[in-house]
Amino acid sequence: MLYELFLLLEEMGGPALFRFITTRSIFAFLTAFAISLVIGPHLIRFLYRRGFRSHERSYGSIDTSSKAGTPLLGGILIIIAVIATTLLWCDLDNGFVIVPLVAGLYFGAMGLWDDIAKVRYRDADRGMSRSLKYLGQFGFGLALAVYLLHPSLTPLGDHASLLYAPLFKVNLMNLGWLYAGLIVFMIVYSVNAVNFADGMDGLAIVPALFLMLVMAAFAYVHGRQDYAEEFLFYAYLPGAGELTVLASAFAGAAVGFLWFNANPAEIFMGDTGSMFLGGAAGTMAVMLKEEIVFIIAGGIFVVEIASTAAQEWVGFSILKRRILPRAPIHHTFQHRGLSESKVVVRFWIVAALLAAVAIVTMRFR
Amino acid sequence: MGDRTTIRYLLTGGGTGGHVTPALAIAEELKRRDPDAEFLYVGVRGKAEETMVPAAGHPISFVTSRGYPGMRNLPAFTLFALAVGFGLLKALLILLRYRPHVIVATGGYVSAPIVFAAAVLRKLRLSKARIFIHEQNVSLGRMNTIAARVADLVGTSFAETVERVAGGKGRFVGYPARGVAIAGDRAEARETLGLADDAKVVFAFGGSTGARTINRAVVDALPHLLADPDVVVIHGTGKQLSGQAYDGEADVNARLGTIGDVPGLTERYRHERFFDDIGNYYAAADVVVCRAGAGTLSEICAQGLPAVIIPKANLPGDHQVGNARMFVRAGAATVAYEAVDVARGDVIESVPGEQLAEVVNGLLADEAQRETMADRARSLHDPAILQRIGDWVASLSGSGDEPALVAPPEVAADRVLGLTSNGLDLLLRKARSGAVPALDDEELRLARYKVDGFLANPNYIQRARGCRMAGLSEYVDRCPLLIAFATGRDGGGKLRQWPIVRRDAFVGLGNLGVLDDDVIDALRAGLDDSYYEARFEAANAITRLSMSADGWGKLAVLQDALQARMTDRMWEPRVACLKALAEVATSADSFVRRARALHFDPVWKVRAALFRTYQRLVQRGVLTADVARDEVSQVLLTSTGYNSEYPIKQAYNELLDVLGSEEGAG
Repeated sequence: MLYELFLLLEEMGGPALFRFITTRSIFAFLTAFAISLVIGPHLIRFLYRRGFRSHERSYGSIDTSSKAGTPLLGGILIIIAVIATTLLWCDLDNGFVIVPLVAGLYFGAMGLWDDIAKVRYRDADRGMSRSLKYLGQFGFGLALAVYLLHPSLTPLGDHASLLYAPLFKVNLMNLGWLYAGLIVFMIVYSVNAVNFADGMDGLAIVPALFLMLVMAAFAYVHGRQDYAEEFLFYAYLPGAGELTVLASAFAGAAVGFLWFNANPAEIFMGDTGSMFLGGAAGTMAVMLKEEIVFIIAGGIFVVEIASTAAQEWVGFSILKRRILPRAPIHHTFQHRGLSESKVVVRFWIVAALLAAVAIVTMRFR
Repeated sequence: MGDRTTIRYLLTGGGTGGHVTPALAIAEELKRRDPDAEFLYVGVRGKAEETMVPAAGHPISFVTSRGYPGMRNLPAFTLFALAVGFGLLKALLILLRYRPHVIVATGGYVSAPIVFAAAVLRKLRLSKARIFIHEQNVSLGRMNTIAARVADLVGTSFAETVERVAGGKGRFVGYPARGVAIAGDRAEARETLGLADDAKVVFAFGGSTGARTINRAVVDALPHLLADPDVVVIHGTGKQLSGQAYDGEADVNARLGTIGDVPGLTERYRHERFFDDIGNYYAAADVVVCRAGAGTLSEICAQGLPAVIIPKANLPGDHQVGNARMFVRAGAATVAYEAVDVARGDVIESVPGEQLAEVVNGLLADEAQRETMADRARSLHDPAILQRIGDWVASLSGSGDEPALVAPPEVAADRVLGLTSNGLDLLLRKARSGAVPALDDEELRLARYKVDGFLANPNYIQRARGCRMAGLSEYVDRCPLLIAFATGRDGGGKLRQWPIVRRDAFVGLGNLGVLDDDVIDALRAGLDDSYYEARFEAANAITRLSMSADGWGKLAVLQDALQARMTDRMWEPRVACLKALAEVATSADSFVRRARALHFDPVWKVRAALFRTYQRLVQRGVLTADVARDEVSQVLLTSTGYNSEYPIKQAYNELLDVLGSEEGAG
């Protein structure tokens, strides 16, 4: 809304400051952070009072009893901060803003349903059925693929079905409608990966924050014709720059959430938060055609989901034994005796390094 | 009211005789009330209903349907979906053509197409058929759980079931038994069957399709039973259905070859696949040996017979066990549970013939006991049941008012029945820790019986849980089985003992409390298992067993093996071996030398365990304080872990302790 207001002011001879994506991104980050800080304590009290408290299941050797009773559904905090900020600072006619936001809200709603069911049955293992969850994820992935690949709908122009990768100046190949498979995979992967990573205080939110910053940087480059085409030889995606503002809002909200979620956590994001973040981030990656960068920058999430899948499908299903002491991988370290905060900080360090690597690939094409 | 149209009833349900018999009994009652009523039975070709229904004089139409195989087995699931899909279409046609007023469904997958087709037609306002469902067992079947949502009323055979029916549609009615099975006079029946008046007649059968456990147990029991020259054994071995691997008659004939020459075998033992005039056999019998299917049991009640019930294990919701236990509580029957047998490597359920013979002979010898049981059984049968069902069905067809609700007999809740492996595991752990009252003898018997079922389960996770629960329920008889599982020496059986099964077998052995040479050998082998968690649990089992009286003395022979494992490449076994050595070590020299390798162990939990081991060894006098002091001063004290404390939660929990509330803040 402010965006429209400033455009109006500018026409009337006001400053052109707020037209710039960089300026609005910084303001979006600060606004989202501020909103989180202001509503955080209220939301925590509200959720606690309404009985939305986590029922941690016990993992045998890992004591989770100190976590029981912490308010769940903290994802709502991120959602509110992001939406309010987007309404204020973003160009709402831009598909690069609306589509990731819709994706986030869709998955956030799914996560909310799941969280509420878990709270209602007082059991962390109950909730939405697995098949329904995956159906919802595949369904959305397909819908997104149709939107992005259909020539008359896509905001990506000619680039829609071209596969890009770091270190290559030109696109690798044109996948045509096969690209839909990649889109569905990215969505399902991203939603679940963030979900699996969400197992310790601050463990999911900080890598997600770095991921959003990387997405913001890439969106800026893709949206600038001069950078993209003349300097760095990127796919120029008109309008993609607006995604920088959205990603900044996400980053600000993430920092605001970390304020409360830092160990010892006063609130958990729950599936509401992890699926909101995962859904939005995955959609951003697909729309920016930076799937590979996304996987590098979110390397923590890759490890989390891969360790879970390996334990489940190779360990328990085939070998009938554990192949990792615990899964997802962060529990392996905790099981070994590392304190939670130590595990989390080490994961942050790795996430930061991976984000740096992802940014560096920007120069190598 | 003037001349009203004929009421058309549609009956469906089947697959086994247990679902068909009640449907036919209800039909008899409805026919008695309204001789003009029309009936159509809808079943599946090749199942029990195909022959039973025409024999009862009702027309039958066929649909296709299949039992639900679960989502995991994709080919079977596809066949299921196709069969039910086609069945649904056929059912739609049948319903549109026959246009029934009331549908009476007695459950089983056979009734699925009709019930759901009727629900669809009602939604489309193409049919006004009312749906009455009858559930025969204590726990609601899978099909009936879903069907209850679209039904108008669900009549249940047991009071406990009413609450489990969604939407307040449940009505306690009882189990409808057929008149033909009930009728029979003892003297008359004996004459017809050519049995002496003073003969002691044992009638054994495993339902219409036969039961392997009963067939084998009866044959094995013959030498003991026929030792009394008055005993006559009549044995129904079961019809082999198409597509079913088990052939009762052939199995019995093969088994008879193994028991050798038994006096009286030819004169006083009769076996046949099936008895058409089962009413006569009931009437002639003194003791019945049977399954706990709802149909069989209701016939026993109607006849008033003392019974030895062998419930079929591991059915959905344990429904046969539930039925059997209700009879036991009422004093109307004794139960012989199936146990698992791993004699030749394959884990199969069985009842030892000797045990069965002992129970039956006991009953045959005690006439007073038989009389009491027969009376109790008779008192469970209520001739008003059919009347009641008829009333409810009439109220649905609009030809009668709703009958008054009957107060069902009170039954105590059951803690063990119907629990999954997870639930039973939890209950046993709680009982062990004292969080809930310990299991009484009867509950323990049932729990162990269920444990047997899990131990024989083809799913390795279930088997692993079975191992743990065998320990928790102190099921000492299963010690050899646990040893076999733990060491993987299962005689080349079909069930492979995977790493996790071996691990949990050691957990079970640790809790079992048996400490003989075989167990010690198994533990020694376990310390060298290829799977680290099995090594870990083997060492833990040593610690636990050392707590028993003179346990540590016996286990001292394992200290060398434990010391060798102190430097295992995985840290969990290292910790567990240190803990075990703290209890069983009798000499410290080599221990101290080996322990030096752990002074800078990368995992602080190992170093912490080392301190505790030193503490215990000094306390036990195995080590002098001076030696220990010199050694432990070398150990790295930095740590990557600590326990967080929440003063506010502590304060709250302490307050709750004072207030006497049960729930903590965690």
